Amino acid sequence: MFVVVLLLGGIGVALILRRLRTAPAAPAGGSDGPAVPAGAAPVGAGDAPARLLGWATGLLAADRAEWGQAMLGELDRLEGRAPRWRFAAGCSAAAMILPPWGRAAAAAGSLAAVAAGGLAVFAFASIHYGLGRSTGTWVGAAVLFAILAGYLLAGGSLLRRPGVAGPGLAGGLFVAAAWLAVSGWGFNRFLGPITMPGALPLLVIVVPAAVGAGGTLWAGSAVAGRRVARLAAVSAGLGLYLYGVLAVTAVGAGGPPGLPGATVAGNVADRLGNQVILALLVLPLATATVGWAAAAATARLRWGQPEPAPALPATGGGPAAAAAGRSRTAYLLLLSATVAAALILASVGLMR
Amino acid sequence: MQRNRPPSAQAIRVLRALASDPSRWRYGYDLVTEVGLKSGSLYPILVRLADRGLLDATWEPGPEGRPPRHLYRLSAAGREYVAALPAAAQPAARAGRAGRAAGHPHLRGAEAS
Repeated sequence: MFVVVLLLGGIGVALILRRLRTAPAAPAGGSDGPAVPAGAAPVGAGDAPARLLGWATGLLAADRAEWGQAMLGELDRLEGRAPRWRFAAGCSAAAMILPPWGRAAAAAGSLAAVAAGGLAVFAFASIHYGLGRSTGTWVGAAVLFAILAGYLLAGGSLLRRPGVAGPGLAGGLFVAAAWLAVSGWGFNRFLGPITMPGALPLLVIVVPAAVGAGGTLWAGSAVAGRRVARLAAVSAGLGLYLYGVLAVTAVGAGGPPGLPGATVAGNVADRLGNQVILALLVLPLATATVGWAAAAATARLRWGQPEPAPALPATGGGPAAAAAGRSRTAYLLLLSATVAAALILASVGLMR
Repeated sequence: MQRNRPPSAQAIRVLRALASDPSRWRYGYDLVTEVGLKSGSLYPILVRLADRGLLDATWEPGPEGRPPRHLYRLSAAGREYVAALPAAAQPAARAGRAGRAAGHPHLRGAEAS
């Protein structure tokens, strides 16, 4: 519970900081949006349909960017909430799948295969252990399908961003390897409790922070670093979920002690649910949020701003310098809070 | 190497709609309403047609502070392509033309490929 509160608190702080930083007349799409032609309004800065389409057209390959501008220009002339939403939703869907995907297609296909594998093994386990007889199982399966589909959508979007696929997938491998190393590589050990001292802060703070910081330094900006952390979260979550459901299917109700007094089906259902919570909720949430904070903090500490600054003549300070100083202070506070939380969690882990 | 697969029925509807008045430039949303396609279907079709050289596209500068709009019409190759299409696809095109909106701006922009 403490970890969840910590992560949700981190999300809140991150969103507030982001809002404060981008509030004054910045495009809502931020640096995620496409380039705006000279003299044109910031087309991503309008209502929700415009922001959605601005985000989606940012996924297009460079040689398709003008088609994104064409969609945005057309949306700009449309009036009425419903027509704007219909147009933006359709164009966004098209922009998300419009080729060329390049090498991202292979990575997205791999993610889809892993997600489909997880769903298939879940279905097999549900049938094999007789779990598919209650309404709750079907509701759970629907929720699982929605989560996996959402992860695939997010993963596909992130893979299309330049410079994100390589470090993001490498980060995902690193995160998954860390969870497996701490939990235990074998199926039986993986399903048992984590007994290693300090494992919790290591997995939810140190490893995600390393991914966010490493991704930022690799990709060269905080924006890319945050995307690297998100892609690592998605890919590691999907991979570990597949491993987890394979372990549950193979071990069943055997292996480590299960729920006292529960039937085989009850124990298997409990373990399948645990895989969703650990691999598809806790791991991605921790990796994305802590990685987000680490990426931002790394960029601030490394470059003093989200992107490496081009060489500019010295201005001698002024309001902009003062604002940058305040922003840097905020990120240092966020980083300090993250470190403090890690120390608290480490202490709790060692005292057990 | 680019593969030129046969156009889909929807693509043929778009081609027929454009061929109904080949000299007229059309906005994307006009084609959405004229052909009866969703925007998510229309734009990928336009991209494919442009990639195959069947479509000319140009930009109409927007008013001050507004983004430009993209306009489309058949290229010479596109007109030849439509002329060579089998007649079986024509009823769909006639149905599409029924809902065509009138009135388009005079364009000063140069053609783009």
